[in-house]
Amino acid sequence: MSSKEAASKEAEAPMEVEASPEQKQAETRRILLEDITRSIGFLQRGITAAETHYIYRALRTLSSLRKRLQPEVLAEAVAARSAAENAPATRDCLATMVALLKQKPAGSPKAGACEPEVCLFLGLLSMLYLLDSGSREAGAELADVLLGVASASQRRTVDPIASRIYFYYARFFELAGRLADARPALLGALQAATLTGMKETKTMVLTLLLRNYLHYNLYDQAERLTAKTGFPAEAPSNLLARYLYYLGFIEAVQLNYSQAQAHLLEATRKAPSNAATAGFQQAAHKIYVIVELLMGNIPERSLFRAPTLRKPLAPYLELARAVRIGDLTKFQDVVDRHEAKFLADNVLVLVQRLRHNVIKAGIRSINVAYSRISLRDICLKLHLDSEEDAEYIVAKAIRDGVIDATIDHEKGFVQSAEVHNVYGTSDPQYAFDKRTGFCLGLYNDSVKAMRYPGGNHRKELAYAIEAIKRERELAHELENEEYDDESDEDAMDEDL
Amino acid sequence: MAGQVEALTSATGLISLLGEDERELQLYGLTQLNVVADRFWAEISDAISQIEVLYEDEAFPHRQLAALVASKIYFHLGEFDDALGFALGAGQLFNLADPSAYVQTVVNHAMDKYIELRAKADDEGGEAAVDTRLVAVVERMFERCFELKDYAQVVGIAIETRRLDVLERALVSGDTQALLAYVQRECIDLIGSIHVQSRVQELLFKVHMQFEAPDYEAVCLCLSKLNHPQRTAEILGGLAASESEDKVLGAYQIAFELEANATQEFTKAVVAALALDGERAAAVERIKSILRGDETRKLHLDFLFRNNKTDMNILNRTCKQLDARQSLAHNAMTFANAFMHAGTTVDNFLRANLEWLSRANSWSKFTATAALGVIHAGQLRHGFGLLQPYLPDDSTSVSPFSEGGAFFALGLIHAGHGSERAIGYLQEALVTYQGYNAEILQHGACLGLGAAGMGSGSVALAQALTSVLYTDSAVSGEAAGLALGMVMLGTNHEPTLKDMLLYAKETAHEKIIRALAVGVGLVVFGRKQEADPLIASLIDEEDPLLRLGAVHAITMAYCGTGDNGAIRRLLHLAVSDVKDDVRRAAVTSLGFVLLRSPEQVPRMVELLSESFNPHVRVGAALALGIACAGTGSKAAIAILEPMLKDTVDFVVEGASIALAFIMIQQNETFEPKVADVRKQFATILETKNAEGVAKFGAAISQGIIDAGGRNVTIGLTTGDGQLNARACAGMLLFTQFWYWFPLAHFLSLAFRPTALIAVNKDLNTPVIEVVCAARKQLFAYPPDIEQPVEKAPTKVATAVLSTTAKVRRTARREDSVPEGPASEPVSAGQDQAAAADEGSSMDVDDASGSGKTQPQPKRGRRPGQESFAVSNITRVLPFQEKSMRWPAGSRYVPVRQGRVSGVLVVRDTQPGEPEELIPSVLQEGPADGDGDDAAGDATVPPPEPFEYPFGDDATPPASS
Repeated sequence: MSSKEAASKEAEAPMEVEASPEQKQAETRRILLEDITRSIGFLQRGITAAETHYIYRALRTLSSLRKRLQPEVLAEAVAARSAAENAPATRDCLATMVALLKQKPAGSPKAGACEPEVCLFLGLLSMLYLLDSGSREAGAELADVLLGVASASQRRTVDPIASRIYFYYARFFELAGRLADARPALLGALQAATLTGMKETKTMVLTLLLRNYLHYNLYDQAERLTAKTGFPAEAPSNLLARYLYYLGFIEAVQLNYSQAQAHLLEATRKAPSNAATAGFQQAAHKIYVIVELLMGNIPERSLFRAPTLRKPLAPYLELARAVRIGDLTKFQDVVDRHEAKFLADNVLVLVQRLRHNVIKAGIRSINVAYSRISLRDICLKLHLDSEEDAEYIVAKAIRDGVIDATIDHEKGFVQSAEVHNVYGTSDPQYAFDKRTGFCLGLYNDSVKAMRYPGGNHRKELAYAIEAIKRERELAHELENEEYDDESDEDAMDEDL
Repeated sequence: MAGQVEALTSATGLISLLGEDERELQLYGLTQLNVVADRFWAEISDAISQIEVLYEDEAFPHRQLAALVASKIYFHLGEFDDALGFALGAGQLFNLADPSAYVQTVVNHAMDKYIELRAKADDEGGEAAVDTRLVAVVERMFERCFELKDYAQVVGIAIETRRLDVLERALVSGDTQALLAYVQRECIDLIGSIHVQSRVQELLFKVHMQFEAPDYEAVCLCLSKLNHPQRTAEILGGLAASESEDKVLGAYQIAFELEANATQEFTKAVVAALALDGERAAAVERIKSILRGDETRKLHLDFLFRNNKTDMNILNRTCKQLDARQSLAHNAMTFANAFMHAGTTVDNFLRANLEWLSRANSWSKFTATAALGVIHAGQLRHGFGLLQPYLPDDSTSVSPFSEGGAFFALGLIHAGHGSERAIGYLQEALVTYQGYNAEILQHGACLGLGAAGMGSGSVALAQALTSVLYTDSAVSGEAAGLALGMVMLGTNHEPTLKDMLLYAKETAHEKIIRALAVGVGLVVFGRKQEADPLIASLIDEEDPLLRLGAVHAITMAYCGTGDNGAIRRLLHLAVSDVKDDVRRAAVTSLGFVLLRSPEQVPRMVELLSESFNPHVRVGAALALGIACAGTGSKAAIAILEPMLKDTVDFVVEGASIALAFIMIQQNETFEPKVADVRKQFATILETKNAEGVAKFGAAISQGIIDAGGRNVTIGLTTGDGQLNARACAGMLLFTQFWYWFPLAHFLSLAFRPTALIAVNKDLNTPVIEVVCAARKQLFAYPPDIEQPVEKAPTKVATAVLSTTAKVRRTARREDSVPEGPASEPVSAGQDQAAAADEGSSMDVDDASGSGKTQPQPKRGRRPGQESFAVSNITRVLPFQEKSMRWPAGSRYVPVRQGRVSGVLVVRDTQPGEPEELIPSVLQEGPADGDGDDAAGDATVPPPEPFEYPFGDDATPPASS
């Protein structure tokens, strides 16, 4: 906040005395108002240039503004924009904003006109204030009004702001515990955004809808929605990460583990890893670990050591250990101890499915360790109820390709097949191909994510042109020196 | 019930109802699904086949409901075609009044579909086999618009769907005048098919005529587009014969408009059809004279001559910098001078630089002689007299080059206004001079015929030209190919086209093929889709010159339409063709096609302007120049300015020319870059080691930027925004200077004087003052170099006096001691300026002594008032028009409201009182042709006899 510093220095310098608290407050208010006005300036530049990157620039100031918001200042900023010639919807919206901020409506004679973008931005700030000050009902009401303005405008520059409005709209409903009520509006918004080509809003609303469905365990609905709508390719990466997370979750529930694993892995990689996104990383990794386990893989140990993940993933580490050694009792013990936690994470269903995997893991380790083992011993090792059970489970494991063995029914033992050299098969090749594919995909995505600001190359171009010009002049000079006298006559001859 | 639906979390239950046997249950399921479709569409879409089965079940009583649900689901799935199909099946259940996104989208889709079907059927000539249900939807849409009185929308859709019945209804029910103007101005040109366009014109004509007092101007415009000279003549005759003076004046105004907008073929036919009856013979005679173009030309000559603000210093300086021994430099100088003085009849420069002139040889002699035609353009009466010294006669042959040039000059003087005498003379010349030695003469005669007979559509002329073409001489054949195109401009004359194409494929001369390629383009000018078969046949040819023909055909056929298909084809050619010439022409074409939306061009060609290929770059520069000509577009200047430093000489040339096009008539107050650019031109000329081509570009750019004594702009459209065929053709021919320099002269066809000229009932120019509510500096002439303009209006008069010329000549002679190339011009310029000043001060005394008060705009700004008066016959810039106000209570009122530029016919509100007229600066003199059809009684005086100092040259005709 260099402007802040500068401004405060400026204010303090002539007085040379400690400012009173009132003065300080007035000062912070003034600075806040200035900052808001500057952000609005970005918006207006974006509107005139029809360029969204100015809009993003304004939106980036949100987090800094959010910490300092004051209802009086917001009302003042709103008053400066409530010109009489605003569209009726905008006017209503601004009035509601002031009312919900519990401020008196004040008209300013030289109030400027308010574009939908500016109106939504001010609305966004008001919503943030209401959210932080805990006025949820007021926030939900404001969100409703703002939605009207957001859906009425079809400008590309509205898109990024509208998508955030929808986010907080859903957030207020979620906090109020009536998420289902937000669904029709979101479905409408999805349709409108699809028709008008608002990509960011579309992705945001799609994500919100998935969250909405998952909140009520409506996995079928969610799955159909994702199947019937395409996800815009050029979505912002944080939205993409969230979308992939939900997608992975849905697929995990619907037994589509390999897809789920791929999507969750991508989600964890797409999401930026910093303190602000730790929550997302934790949630995504939790499901990722379980899906890995369900697929019969054991996640890397290092995953559980990451500083942000160590604590929340502790129960999952225990789970992974139990699965790895294939100890059913231990597994059951872990599940019992952390049941509440799993329930809170909404993964208990998936955890319970792991029982089979524990058994499979046990069988596999037995298969590796023993070339021949009696069914009874298997039964004892895995704490199974009977030999018959053991026989069925082993038979199933053989059929699923988990182990390569034969069962001798008469003598009651399992004969493991010779261990193949895995490098003799094409498995490593597939694995390699998979990893190459991933890297190439990552590379392509990064290239696509790059921005090439127009006209930057011109500077170099100008330099190159200068260089060429100098060179040419030099060449000409040399030439002239050499044929100083003859040149004129030569030219004459040529012409004739 | 609503609560029930709200509480639903899944539509599975409702879907399963559809599988029941009971009709009641199915109906209930469908009804509920219809309600929740927006929320559960993703779920229901899995059961879409079930719903479709219900719809197809003839026995099911609620098939329409099933169709509606299916339609909604398909809409959500983004399958708009299916959604439309089922929505049609839903019949009345599909509620058009519903403002939901679903209904709007489906209706839009229905419209698109309908438009597509109608257009397809229409183009194929059959009756549209459109689904009656679809028609019903469209009809219902129309009805709704009628109910809401949203007529503009109906008009738009009706034209798009080619429903002329609906269009007529809308025109009649709404504010007819406004709608008619809207259709004429905004809609007509967007119609791709000429047939539909003329059908709409016919309809407009019909609606116009239903009025008690029709707007005859609009009517005549319709008729000119429909090519009904007979009807037009009747209307004009009727107006002229009427008692009301207003009507007679209106007829004059219409005649002026027609002369500016209609083709030569049309105006000639109208003139022929106008009957001279005893009572109002004078009025009819005047109308004829206007239609023949005599009046406009006379007024424009007067205007250009009177206001000539050429800065001779620029020309003199350039002349010193260019080496006249090089024919390239000589040509450049010729063009610079010709453009600067285009139409002003001022040939002082030539007189003062006889020595320079004498250095011309072979083809540069041709060009120099033809330049007389540009300078004296419109000198209909004295054309022959002026050129007499150069035209061949039986006794002596001066030089075939100057003789050929004289033919061309004759054509340029009569450009687009072929008097029978001029055309007859040139045609005769074609027959007289034949054989190997005469090809230069034939070349000149053909070009002259093309210019004079431009757009006349005369089959006899075409035949004469075709016979020249068939001699298979590269030099004369080239000119004949171009001339054929010019004569048949915009006629789409099938036999001529066929001949041209056949011959282009037959001949081995590249020059002829290239000329025919341009000619073919000219023939299909403005024909839009009609030219498509021709374009398609040429675009895939192996010979790049024929592909060039395709590009020219697109250029001309879609000129000014902004047609997306044309732009797509051009862009494709611009980046994919293997031949540089084709790519360059394709990029240049973009400028023509987007003529009327210049703001789009900079963005479109920005990348092309940075292409690795210099030909594409130069094409991009020209495209910008052509589309943004006279606009001073900042975006275009920003792209072009760096191109002046390009490493390739011809790109610099193209960029210079484009900048001159854009900045023509702009001054420093309005666009600060102008001074910079002018300086850059000078720098390029000064730089010793600059390439010749770059210098050529800079020199002619100096001519263009100050064209016509700084009183003309590049007018590819007329003041009304109508496309000016002659100007567009001139511009296309100008771009061909790349191959053949003399063609650069055709740029003069694109010059449009920017004048305010008010004429009274006798077609004289009364004293009038119009107010311009803006700062005067905004519209001032740019200052002369090295010398500020203080006495600009008096300086004009100096040109009249022969004494001035004498003073100058003596000054020149005194100066004519050899000088160093770069250091001297400053002092020389000052000397000359001093001489000019002397002359002008004398002049002022003269004027005041004789007591004549020349009406002049009041100089100097009145404090606090941002307006100034503009008198009759002065320059009014295109962007000045919006601040012009006709003063209230003025004695003269224009018969056509709302216009403040061009030739205006004004009504005198105090007819009894004596009129104060602006005396013509033109002196009366005998016309050189006694039987000539020129009707004007005063023309610019013939300049003193003056002859190019060409020696007899024994140069053999240049072989191609």
